[in-house]
Amino acid sequence: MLAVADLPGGFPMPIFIANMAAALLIGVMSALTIPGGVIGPGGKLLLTTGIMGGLSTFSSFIWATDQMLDNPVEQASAVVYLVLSVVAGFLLVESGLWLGGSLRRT
Amino acid sequence: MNDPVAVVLVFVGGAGGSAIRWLVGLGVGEHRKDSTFPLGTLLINVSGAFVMGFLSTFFYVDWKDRHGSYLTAFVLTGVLGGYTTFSSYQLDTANLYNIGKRGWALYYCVGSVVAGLLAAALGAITAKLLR
Repeated sequence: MLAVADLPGGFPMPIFIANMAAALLIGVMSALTIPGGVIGPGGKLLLTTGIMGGLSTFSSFIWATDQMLDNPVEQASAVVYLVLSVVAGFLLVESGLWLGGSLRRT
Repeated sequence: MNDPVAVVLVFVGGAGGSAIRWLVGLGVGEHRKDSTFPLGTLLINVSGAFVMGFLSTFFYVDWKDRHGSYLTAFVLTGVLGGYTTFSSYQLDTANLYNIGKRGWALYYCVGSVVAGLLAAALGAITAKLLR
């Protein structure tokens, strides 16, 4: 968050980047940690629940949206932020699952 | 990385918050093999949103000022950031979708956001009444 700045209009770029990166990576790791996979249950707990869960945040995502919706100047950014986070996050997890599945088969 | 104390506070808070999330998840039983609906993550994220709205409003923390003080770094960014999770929320949605439970995936996906927004607003209202 220190390295990435908010965009004009209030779009919280740092949280967005962190959540999108975590969504892609949790997909990859989830695909690599299914039973019989490359990484065991302990590694799965560390990588998905621990590190990706720690990297991503739901509370800051929701609170930023809530506060932006209260400010008429930022309402448009709020809607874009909300919809984009949910849709892009879903697509990134699916991409990650696919990528991880491909890696596992190689 | 210009303030090592803040980095350590976020690190420790985040680790603690993540451990609490894992324990709550176990308690709610989301790791049971017969439960497909991720109730634990839903409750965690919605309760985390409530606490975030409450504390930010109670202590007058501007949401854009995430690097404001050590307390903000530890509690809001660290503990609550570690406690709540966006990645597991999206993974749960994708898993429901991929096993063919598309209706549940949609309810969970949209329901988490709607319930989270309402909980955060409720937290803020509660804080205004109390302070």
